[in-house]
Amino acid sequence: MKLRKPHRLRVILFGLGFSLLTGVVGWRLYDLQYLRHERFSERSEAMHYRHLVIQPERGEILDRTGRPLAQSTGRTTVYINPSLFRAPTFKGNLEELARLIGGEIGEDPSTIMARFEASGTTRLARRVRPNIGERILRHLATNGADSRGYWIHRETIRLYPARIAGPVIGFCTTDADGDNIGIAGLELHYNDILNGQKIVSRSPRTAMRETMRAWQQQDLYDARGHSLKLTIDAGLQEVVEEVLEKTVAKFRADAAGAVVMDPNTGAILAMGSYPTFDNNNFGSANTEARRPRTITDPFETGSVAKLFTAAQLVDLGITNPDTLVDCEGGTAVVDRRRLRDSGNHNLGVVPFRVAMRHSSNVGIVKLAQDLENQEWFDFLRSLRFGQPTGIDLPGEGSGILYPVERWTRFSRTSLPMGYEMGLTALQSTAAIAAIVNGGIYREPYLVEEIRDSRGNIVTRHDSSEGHRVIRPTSSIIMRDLMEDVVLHGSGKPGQVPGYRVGGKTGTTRKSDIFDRREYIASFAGAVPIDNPRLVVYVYVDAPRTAYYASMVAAPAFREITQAALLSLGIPPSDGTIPSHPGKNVLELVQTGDESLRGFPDLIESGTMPDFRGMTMRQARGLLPTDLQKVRFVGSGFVADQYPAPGERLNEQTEVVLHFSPRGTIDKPASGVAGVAR
Amino acid sequence: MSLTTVPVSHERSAVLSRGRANPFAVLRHVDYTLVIGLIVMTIVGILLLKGAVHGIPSLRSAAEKQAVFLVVALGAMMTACLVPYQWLNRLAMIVYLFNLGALVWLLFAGHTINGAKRWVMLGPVNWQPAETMKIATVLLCAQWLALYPEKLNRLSGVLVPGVIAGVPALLILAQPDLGTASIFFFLFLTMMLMAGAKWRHLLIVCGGAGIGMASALPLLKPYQRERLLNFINPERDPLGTGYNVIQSKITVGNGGLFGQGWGQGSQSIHQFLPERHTDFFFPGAVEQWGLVGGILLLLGFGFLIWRMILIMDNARDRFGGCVTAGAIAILGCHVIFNVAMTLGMLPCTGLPLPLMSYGGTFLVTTYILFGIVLNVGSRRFVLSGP
Repeated sequence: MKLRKPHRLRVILFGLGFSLLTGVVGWRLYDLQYLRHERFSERSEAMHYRHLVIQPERGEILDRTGRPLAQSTGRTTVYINPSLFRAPTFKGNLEELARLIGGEIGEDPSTIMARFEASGTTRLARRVRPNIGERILRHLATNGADSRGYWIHRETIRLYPARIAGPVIGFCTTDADGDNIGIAGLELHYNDILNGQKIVSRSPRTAMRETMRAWQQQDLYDARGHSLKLTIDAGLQEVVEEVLEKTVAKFRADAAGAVVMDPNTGAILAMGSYPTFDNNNFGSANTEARRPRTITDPFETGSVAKLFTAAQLVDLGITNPDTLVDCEGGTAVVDRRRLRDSGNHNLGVVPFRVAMRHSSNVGIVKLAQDLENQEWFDFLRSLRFGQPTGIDLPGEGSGILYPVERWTRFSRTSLPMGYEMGLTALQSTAAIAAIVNGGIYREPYLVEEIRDSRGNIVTRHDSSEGHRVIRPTSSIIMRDLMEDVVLHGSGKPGQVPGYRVGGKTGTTRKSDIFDRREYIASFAGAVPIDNPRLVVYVYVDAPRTAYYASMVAAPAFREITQAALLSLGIPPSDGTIPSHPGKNVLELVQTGDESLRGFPDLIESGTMPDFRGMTMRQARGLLPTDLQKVRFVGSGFVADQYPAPGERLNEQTEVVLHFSPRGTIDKPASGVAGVAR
Repeated sequence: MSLTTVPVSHERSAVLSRGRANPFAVLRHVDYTLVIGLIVMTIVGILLLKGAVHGIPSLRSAAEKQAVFLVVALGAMMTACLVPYQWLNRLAMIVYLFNLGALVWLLFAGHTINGAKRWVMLGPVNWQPAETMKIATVLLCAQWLALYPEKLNRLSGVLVPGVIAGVPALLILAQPDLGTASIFFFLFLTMMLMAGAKWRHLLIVCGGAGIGMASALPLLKPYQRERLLNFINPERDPLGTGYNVIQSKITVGNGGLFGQGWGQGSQSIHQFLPERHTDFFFPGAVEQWGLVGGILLLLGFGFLIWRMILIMDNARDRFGGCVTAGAIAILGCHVIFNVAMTLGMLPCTGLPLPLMSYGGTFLVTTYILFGIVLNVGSRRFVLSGP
């Protein structure tokens, strides 16, 4: 056999070639695994885990007694694609489903049946309660529907069970992730606190299917946003809104607003306006209704502002209630301007007290001529005029107060009687509170406490801050002047039986409208005036059947003040028996409330609620609608009821509610006609 | 010195001649370093396989099955090692023709699995004729090269082994299985190189293959064209045909310097790495053991090749040398091609990683190939022959 010569070179070349190729592969390995490791690592992490940002449940907004004003609850929307889910194997009862859904959302089952015939993707049931959504899914799944043909979308919606204080509480929209974002009112101002920290959940997933690690319910529960406990008293707020609505209707006015404030802390107990809106349905409300006009809309307050002028005059020692002033029969020229008093009191030389009592323009303007411009401006500024009060609401207006340089020839004669100066209702209220509370200006506020998900208090409002605007003695003199107005002067209709009230009326001709005579009637008062616990300010914009504040605003003031005194349990000044201490609003929540109607999952019905202390309106809404016999006896607040709270109700139960003005039994029990106790 | 008889002393040959009476006597001369290397690599592969399929129910017992296959493969290797040398010579043509028949049969009657006709279903065992054909081709080529060494001086002499390797390659190409077909080209080329074909003949063969490839481009099936385009830019279809190589590269990169740990490869666990037990075994392995493990694996294969080169160099005769050269080509091509594919350096054509990828047939045929190489190696001192 002839053999070739050995080719060791070829072996070496082959070995080198193989080594070279291995080296190239090894270099690539080094490149991928070492040089570019970070990039690939990040990329795989992004694929392997689904980073879900979970927005925990938004915190609640509660009134000062714990009654919920804003809550979050889950809702489920069910979508179907009929051509897909109605596989040949499907044996479900569509009519039964249609009845279930129809009963839940109040639609005719036949319209729902039509959705099962739709050609493409269709929304079968919109925002139903989660358990209804589950029932629909279960029905479809257990009857052989094709799982590609139906799916659900879960979201959280915001409910406002009390349906009050719409502009103050505000509302939320739903963002792309289905989370609630506050866009107005407290919901906006405290959005981050209410929403709390978002949770980033890292759930592993495979290329084939998701393996979601569900968040523990407890985790989410603990991560809920903080809740707000407001200074607002829901019961009082209801009364305020009722009174404003009634007043606007009675005087055919455009709008009205009222603020109830604790002058010693700055707490806003109620702040209402009309028109208002239901936050549950904010989409259908116009901007007029949505605007919290008590903090946004400035207007010339007129005679109410004489209190501020008087306060400075008294504090500077220029005037005391007995200082004589010549009102010149109600008309005079001051600083080249002719002034007239309203009404026909024809005041001559009278003590300042009397001039204030009858709201004499001539008197206050003449006295105010002793004020220096800058000093005057600084005082008004210290009352936070021309700047926001600092309340914890978005969109607060500054009102209008011109700096001295921009004052006109008429400023010195306009300002004393409340012209050339625009104030919001809240600015006026807070300023009057400072004047009567001993002279300390306290920022108005709405949120008393912020609590975490476990109910621990995170922040509590500190009311100790404030700045002095007048001396305590001046404040006492101002109380005296204000009580005089209510006892003897234009404020008489603002009297509240049993209580010492101080106040001031204001009737302003709206200066920005030339072709119509439109007025703003306002009333500011403090009660009990010897030691004020409440400052109430009411204004009515453009009343048409009457316009004098004493006729328009004072009665509204009286009604609101009465309700406020009742709900705070402030004893009458004349030593009569204290009224009932206000209802326990928590009980109201536990038994259900008219405002919860439409959200039946929040109600535990079937038992007799505790109506005592409620208004007729509240009670009416709370009563189960299927009752056949209901009797209301008397008026005012529920003083007694049959059956007793907690008893079982059925359709035949005869319910009798006995009302009295103070919510206490001041008649014999036999007054509850025909009911054996 | 390659492919030539090793001059051996008469004393040693006498000793060894006595050994011929006992067929197991050759076991004394087996290259146990290579055997141990083989077994270590396979066991490492089983361990990595266990780690790569960790937590995937459908592949739960893959590693255990592979261990069983290893036992079978060791038996097959021993048989191939003990078979008298000349039997291989005689068997070559029979095995070759049988496999050729199987390939032809496949083309007309085979079942299509994953778009290709590769498998012959034999009850519980699935036989892939292309795998056994590699061995048959190596044997037959070696036989021809051993019989007619002088014909290598002419180009026509090169063409005969070219036909021997080319016919099955074309049949496999038609399955279609580009990867395995290319192995045939490289085993032919390596054997020619080692057998001493003229450089210019080798260049002509390479040139011809290049021209053939280029002219075949328009004939490529659409999926093959897609593969080529996606090889050039995998990101053009990241969820489609580019998916595998992208995921493979991510897996490799994810491993880092020291890897994520045994059984901790997240690309495998999260099932983003496709075919992690077969064609994409390597990325799953280096994800667990990192760059360090990857380099060690490459060195391990390099070690096996080095031992085989030694055997080739010391082969008793031309036939043995050529067979070993073919075996080296098969193993080397598989390793380099497979790793390069998973690293995105070559288009993915579906080649498993020898000794490691899950699969009984492939493991057994690889071991048979090694058995033949050991057979060659263990008889290097025996002078007597056909």
